Amino acid sequence: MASKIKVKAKLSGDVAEIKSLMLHPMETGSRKDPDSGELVPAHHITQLTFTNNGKTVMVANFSTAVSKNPYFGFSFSGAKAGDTLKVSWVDNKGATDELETVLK
Amino acid sequence: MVPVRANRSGALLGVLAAVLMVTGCTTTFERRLAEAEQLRLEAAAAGAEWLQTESLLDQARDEAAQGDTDAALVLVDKARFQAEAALRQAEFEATAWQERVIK
Amino acid sequence: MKNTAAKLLLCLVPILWQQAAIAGPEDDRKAFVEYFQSRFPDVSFAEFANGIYAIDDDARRQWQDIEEFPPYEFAIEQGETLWHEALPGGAQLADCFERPADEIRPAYPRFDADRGEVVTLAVAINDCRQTHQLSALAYDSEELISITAYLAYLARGKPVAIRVPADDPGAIAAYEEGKRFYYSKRGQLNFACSDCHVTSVGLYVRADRLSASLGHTTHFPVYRSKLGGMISLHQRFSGCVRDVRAKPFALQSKEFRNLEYFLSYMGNGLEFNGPGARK
Repeated sequence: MASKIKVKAKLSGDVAEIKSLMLHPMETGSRKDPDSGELVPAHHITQLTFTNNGKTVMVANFSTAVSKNPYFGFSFSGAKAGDTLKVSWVDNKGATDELETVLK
Repeated sequence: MVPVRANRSGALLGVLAAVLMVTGCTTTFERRLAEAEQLRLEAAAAGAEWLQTESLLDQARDEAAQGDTDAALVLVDKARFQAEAALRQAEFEATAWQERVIK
Repeated sequence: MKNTAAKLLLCLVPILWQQAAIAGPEDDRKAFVEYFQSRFPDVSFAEFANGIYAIDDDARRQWQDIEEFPPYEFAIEQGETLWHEALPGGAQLADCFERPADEIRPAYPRFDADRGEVVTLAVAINDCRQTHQLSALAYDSEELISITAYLAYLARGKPVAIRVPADDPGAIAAYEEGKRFYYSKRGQLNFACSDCHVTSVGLYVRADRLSASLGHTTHFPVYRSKLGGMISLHQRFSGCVRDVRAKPFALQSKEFRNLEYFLSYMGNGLEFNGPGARK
């Protein structure tokens, strides 16, 4: 199954500007199903992690305030072309997804 | 038991009661509901039905089923207003639209 | 001398008469374009394909940020996969269309003289499925919208060139029906499409700035941030009809297909730029 994460990286000097988009329903647990009237159970990413060459450069703790198909962008320094950037997330059901890309 | 007198209004009442018992008693609510629904269908056929009309009639049916005929009638009248207004709107718009065309 | 001049003038009558009869939609379109260009003289014709972003600088900046990482990319990818999926018997959706994939989106909507109705891309895709013994996809289904997103993406840059053949009274009637719909007030709020998207362009309705109808159809399907997902043009029509408190027509109903036909023709000369991203 193809990764449901997309990443774009832009290098300026040693600063990498990272943009990521990930598919995830991000259910808060407070929404009611319009047909059944039942509460839709919470199903959302809890933690998003970026590592560069194995070193953690960003950890984001997501909760119910982040909406469906999250977009997440940030910058970090100490990057160079050829570095391996890995993004991974875990959600409240224990599911995970990850993607690796090489900085250019 | 009505006193047996050859009285015309009594006879008429008797006939009326018989007719109603045979055909089923149509209340004011049911009649007005049917009229409003008919007007809603006409508005729909004209492509002009408003958003709430059908749900107002559904709510009216619910109210009547729960025994609140007065509340039901209020809703029926609202629905009827919407249907009639929609029909007038469609009639007017049949020609009025041309004024707005950019020329 | 007077006789010759009179004869010449008489000869012109049938020519001018025919011109008036043929030029209907084209006259409408030119007037449509001229209206918006005179309202917004600093906006180039091509820019109108970007809707509200052509006239609202702040919204445009936000949109450009979003376009750096377009949220509709997932839909395009899913659409590409579905487009190449084998149908029963080994056929593919492409087989139904008899033209290169990047020319499919621009071919719709079109008036089908045999069927006597406007055929849109979504309807054509479902026709194809049913020809191959598959059930039709719902017109608001993710799968169908993804396929149209993929085809829209392939067609980017192609010119909008909708045809209303002058010798096809059915096509002209469908176009005129769409035009009538567009300019007719409806609903409890008594608005016509033109009340917002012609008369009030640039003004606010609640928190949204109103876009011009010129170019309305070039960029669908559209990713809506509000919904976190894609919507089709007819879903947008349905939403607008609901917003003026009229009962919406069904997706791909005759009313909406005729409206799409009229609006698409108004956009002739612009370039396809779908899928789009909106609030």
